[in-house]
Amino acid sequence: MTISKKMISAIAAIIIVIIIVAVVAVVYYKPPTERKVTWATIAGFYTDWATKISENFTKKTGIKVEVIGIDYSVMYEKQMIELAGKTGAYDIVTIETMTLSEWANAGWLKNLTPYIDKTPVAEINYTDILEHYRWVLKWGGKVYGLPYYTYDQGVHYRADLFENLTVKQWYHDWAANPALRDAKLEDLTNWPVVLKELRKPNHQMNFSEFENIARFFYEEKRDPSLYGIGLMAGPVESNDEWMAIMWSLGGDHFDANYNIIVNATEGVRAMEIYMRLLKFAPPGALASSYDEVVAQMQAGKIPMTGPFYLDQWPNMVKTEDKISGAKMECGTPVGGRGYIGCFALGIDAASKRPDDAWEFLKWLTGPEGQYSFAKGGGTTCRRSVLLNPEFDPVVNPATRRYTAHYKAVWDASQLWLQTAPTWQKPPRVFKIPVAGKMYLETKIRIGAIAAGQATPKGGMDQVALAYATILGWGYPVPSMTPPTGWQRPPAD
Amino acid sequence: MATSTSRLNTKLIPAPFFPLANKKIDGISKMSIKTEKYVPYLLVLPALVLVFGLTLYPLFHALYYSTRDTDLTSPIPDTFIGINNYRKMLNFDSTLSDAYVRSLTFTAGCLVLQIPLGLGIALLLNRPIRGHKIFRAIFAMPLVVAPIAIGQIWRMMYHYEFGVIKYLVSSVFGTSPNWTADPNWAMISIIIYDTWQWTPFVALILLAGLQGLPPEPYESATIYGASAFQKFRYITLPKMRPLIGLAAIFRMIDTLKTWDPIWAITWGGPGQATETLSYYLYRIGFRYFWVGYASAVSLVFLYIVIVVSTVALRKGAKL
Repeated sequence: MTISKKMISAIAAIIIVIIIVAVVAVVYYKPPTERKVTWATIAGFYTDWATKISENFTKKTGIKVEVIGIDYSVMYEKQMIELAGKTGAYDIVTIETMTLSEWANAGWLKNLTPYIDKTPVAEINYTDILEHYRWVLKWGGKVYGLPYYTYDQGVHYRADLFENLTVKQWYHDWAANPALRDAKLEDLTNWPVVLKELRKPNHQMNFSEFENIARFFYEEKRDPSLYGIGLMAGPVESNDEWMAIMWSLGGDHFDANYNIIVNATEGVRAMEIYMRLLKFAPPGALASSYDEVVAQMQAGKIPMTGPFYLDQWPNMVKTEDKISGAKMECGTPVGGRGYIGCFALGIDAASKRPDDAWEFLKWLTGPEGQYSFAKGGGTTCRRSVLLNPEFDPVVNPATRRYTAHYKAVWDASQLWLQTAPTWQKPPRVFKIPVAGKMYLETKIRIGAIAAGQATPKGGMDQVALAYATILGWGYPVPSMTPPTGWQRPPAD
Repeated sequence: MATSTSRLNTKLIPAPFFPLANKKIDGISKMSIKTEKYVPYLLVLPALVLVFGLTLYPLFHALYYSTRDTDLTSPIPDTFIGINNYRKMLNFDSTLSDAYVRSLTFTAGCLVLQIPLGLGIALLLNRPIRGHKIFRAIFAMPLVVAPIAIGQIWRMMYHYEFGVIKYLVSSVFGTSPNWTADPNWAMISIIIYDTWQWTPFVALILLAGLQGLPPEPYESATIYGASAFQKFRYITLPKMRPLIGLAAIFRMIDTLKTWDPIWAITWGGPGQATETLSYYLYRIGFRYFWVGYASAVSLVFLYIVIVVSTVALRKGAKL
């Protein structure tokens, strides 16, 4: 093989030219003058809405918003990779309530408190945000996220069935006569008369009554395709349902002193109730997420849900289009407490345009943006919008299909304020920096219990052990109490 | 020969065999011997950079992290912990050992189904039937779809209320398992999916082998009155054995690494019924961001795959 000097000279010349071009490009490069921020959010309905709504923001401010839709199932890790790598790829990130402490503690999010302080109240009106979201979106007394979409839980049900006089009579007869029921289950003989009447589920109902209603529809159904309750017992959301029951029973993941109590009486009992409810759910419940429960309702397979996301109302109400005579309603969660769930927006600490990012964040989560969101069918986290008569179906029936759940969202938020002890505002788990990991671990263990791979007690003990392991409390045998030297989360 | 020439000691080679030794040939200036000896290195440099950048660097990086307690979500800087990650893995992580067992179960299940089925399909496609090219194209279709996308469809097909699989199985047997929700059936569901997608791959490899078999042994066997089964048993199978072994090795390596259909269909559930090693690695690496521990687990996994595939390849070569 031969390489001539001419060839070498030519290659050298090409390399020199490339270097010169690169140097010139770097020296004379001018950053684009247009103002633009990137926003990582959930693909699907959310992205469509976000793109549409951000155009209004661009018209107003001149700041373009690039909406990056990410499938919800991978949104957590995709954002985390960029945040951990400090790439600044997303100026604005979408945060789930369970992950805020982790991200704030890692230094990945910008402290929003100075921005809030310097923004006129009319533009941000921070105290208008529902209080329980303000609890969970703070870390060490500083605000790291502002909510824009809630999926707090309540219960959806077929009001036409609960109001049907024949069905009510069946329930009355069934509840009054133990011989009609399986003796192994809860005996209603000594119940007050009112509980022997079929009532619509809400926070005033306890889980015994709720179970019996599910059982009634399951056993006494005149329609053979009707089951008792719709549950999201698949691997994704079952722990949200279990948490709602556990909190309603007065339990929690941690006590006031951060001892792990997830496997205490209330946690185990919540799981036992969940397992009993599961018997009355369609057999596909173990592989179901919220989509399937909506589909079950729309197919007329279930009369009611368990603790379920209230934001799904616009989908649930479509049952009325599919089943003749169906009438949908939703209410506060049975037992009084549901999962505190919302998507919040935060600014990546590595963002190169934090001020522009704040402008968008402030607008979207602020009164104006949330009003637009509500008009577009979204579920807001702001008191002023939730209680706006324009969205009250009694005052404005035209909005019923989009906003009839607002009252339940508001009431559910107030129930947390009214019923939780001070130390549980918010539940300690939201303040643990590894809560995101514990949340995932809980899903796995609860899925195992639901699938019959573990008993409620054995499974919850596994959850407790997993928490202690993730927290690093003792090695190789983890402790259920904080070890000496463990740094407690900073107080708000 | 051309490649080995450059490695030879040029002093021992006569001038006609090493033309660059002359300063000028055909009036063109040539490189000196001194310069020329670097040319081979320059030529392999791009390949070396690629190998180092894409294979060795990540490997050493993983080795580095496997000795540290790196947690990307922790603000505390990581520290050197020696072999603690390996100790934890071997002594205290029961989830990991369960994941190993599930990976082996999945691999065994896939191989048991895919190899005989693949061979059967290859034998069928090897026959002179009309439209065999169309059949081959149809059989190869599952290979070209993305497991994540098609896995979502399979998840719905398996669903107990809305799924077509439950409907079909119930129609035939009167009842159907709760495929992805029953811990006893969830792994079988994934194996069936994987068999649907990858049996065509086995079939195509074996079909290529069948088409390369010489006709003479079959002609002789026919003359001596051998039955179709005897021809298969005593001619086809022995001659195809190396190729069957190769297909099995390919599938074994691939099934040990399978992650995407599990993610799409069962998310590792119910509980941990389908959490294989690769899925567990994904969980601790990309959900928990325990990079140090995940590196240690992945390195041990890598060594196991290398050892198993090397042994299998050597065994296969002897067949």
